[in-house]
Amino acid sequence: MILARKVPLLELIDLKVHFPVSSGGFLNRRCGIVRAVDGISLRIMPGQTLGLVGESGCGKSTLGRAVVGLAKATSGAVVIRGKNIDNMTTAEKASERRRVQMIFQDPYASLNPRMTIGDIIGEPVMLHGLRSGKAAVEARVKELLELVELSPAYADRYPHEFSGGQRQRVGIARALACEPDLIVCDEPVSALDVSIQAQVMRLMMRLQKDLGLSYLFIAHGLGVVKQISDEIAVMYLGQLVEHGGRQVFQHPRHAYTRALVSAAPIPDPKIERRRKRIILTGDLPNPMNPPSGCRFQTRCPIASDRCRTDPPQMHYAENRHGAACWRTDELDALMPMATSPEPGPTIPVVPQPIADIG
Amino acid sequence: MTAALLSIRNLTVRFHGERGETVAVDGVSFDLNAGETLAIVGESGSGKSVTMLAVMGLLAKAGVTADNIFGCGRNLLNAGDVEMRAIRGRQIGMIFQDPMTSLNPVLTIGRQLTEMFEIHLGLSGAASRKGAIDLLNLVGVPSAGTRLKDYPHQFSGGMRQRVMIAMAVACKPQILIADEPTTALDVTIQAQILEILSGLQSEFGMAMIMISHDLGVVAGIADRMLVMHSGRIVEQGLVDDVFANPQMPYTRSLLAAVPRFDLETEMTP
Repeated sequence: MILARKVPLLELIDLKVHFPVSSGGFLNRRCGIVRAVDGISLRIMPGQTLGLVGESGCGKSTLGRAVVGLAKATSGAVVIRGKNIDNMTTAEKASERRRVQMIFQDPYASLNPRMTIGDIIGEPVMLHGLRSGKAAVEARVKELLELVELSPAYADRYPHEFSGGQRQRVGIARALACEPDLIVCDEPVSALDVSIQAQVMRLMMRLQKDLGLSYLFIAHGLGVVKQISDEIAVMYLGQLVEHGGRQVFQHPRHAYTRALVSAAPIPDPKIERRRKRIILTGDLPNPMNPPSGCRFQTRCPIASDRCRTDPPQMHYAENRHGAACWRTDELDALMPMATSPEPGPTIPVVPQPIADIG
Repeated sequence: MTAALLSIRNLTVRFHGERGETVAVDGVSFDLNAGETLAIVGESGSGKSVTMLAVMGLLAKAGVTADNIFGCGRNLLNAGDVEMRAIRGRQIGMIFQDPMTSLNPVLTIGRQLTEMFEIHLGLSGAASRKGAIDLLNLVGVPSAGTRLKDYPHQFSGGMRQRVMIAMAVACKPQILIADEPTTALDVTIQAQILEILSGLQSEFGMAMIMISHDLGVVAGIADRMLVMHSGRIVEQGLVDDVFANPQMPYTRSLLAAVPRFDLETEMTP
């Protein structure tokens, strides 16, 4: 395949990010290690979107932070365009890091309230020397605001004057200011109302098409991930359990993904009434003390003896759909998917503006 | 037709702020029938939570006007503070979105649960302790007896929400109001909580008002739904009808905005 010969934009090789936990107090002994990311290998090709899903505490945000350099890798490698970050010189690092930017979840916490929108977006342009001279920077800021569909006149305003959706656009413009190839999007729309969510998603998809961006799209909502992703990866307790194309949600090959998909509500009462939920018992185990064998075994309804002792490895089927589950071949018999009903009259997904009542 | 359990006519809530008056709820009327689940959906600021806070008497009286708020055989509009305090918890239970801020962090779970029995049912000591253990078992908190001594911070998000539900249903209320009860939770935990709620509802025969912005959750749990926008009800009906055939443009665009993971739909940028 042609794609396979291209150099991946981002490659993670057996990435581990561990956080030591101290007891606090006078002696402050180290009393454990949280293995937030524990051996993950992934790659993103230019122009592609990898969607990363998982529940809170599974390590998906830490993975994203390690990619942009906000969390330090304990072992393994972050390789950007064929070059290992660890082997780069400081100058190389600065220029490669510029190409990997981030959008954060909370548009209220991620913009400095004392800077104007223009300064927030202009700062990375100046720092990286992408434009020289005040006038050129200002012109670039206006360009970027237009790119995210905000009025250039907003450059003099402060973050508090904007709504959540508008702030998220400012966050996107700030990331674009560095002229990146890859943007790590950490739950970029989960704080927004669904109509605003749809607008921001549409903007991100248009920007990807126009600018040839790649996204590492981290979210817990299966719907948004499916919408934007070429490939989908599912994380559980610091490890990858499933990875593949969009068929990951259609026909999951890991017991956890099946449970996750079956628990996600579908906005259609007829389907909802017919579905059989796989209700998992208990909470996510403590990541300081993960279970032996398969990490999902404590909550898995079909765990066998082997699952309790041997950690499963990721195995890819012919369609490049991988799962790390010992019982992947028995899933259809043991955890049947609630069959999708015949396609009834569903609402056509056409972009339409949210009507104003009043 | 039997009389509605809760009947609200022309409810309006105004807030006075520095920039003048805001009408948060603007002439809302609806009924809740015995045993049914009614969902109130809408985006942030649409007035869905404020509507229920007004019904519960949790807002300053000055801003709340209505032709009629009739519930649990009483006129709630004119009920005094003492009367409302007796109704809340006893006849109307309420669950809020964030279980960490709605539980008292300095009291044990046991203390907060037994308080319900002591205040509303006049039970004491061993009887209320037993009631608390039974409740925790009912909502699926493991080793209930020992966990009574724990504080809210020692519970996970899902477990805290179970405790909140236990408190809300302690006195077997006729009406349970759940304001975004699963929004702060992961989807596998959300599925557990929703199952508990429907189980309790059929066990106690409660009517439930579920406030939610998640149309998926609403589709799964509700019989009837109201769609709110800028303080008004813009559409109401049976969930099947509203989802299959939304009448208002706003409802249509709201439904279309929800990305589906179960369908092969493409969104055009």
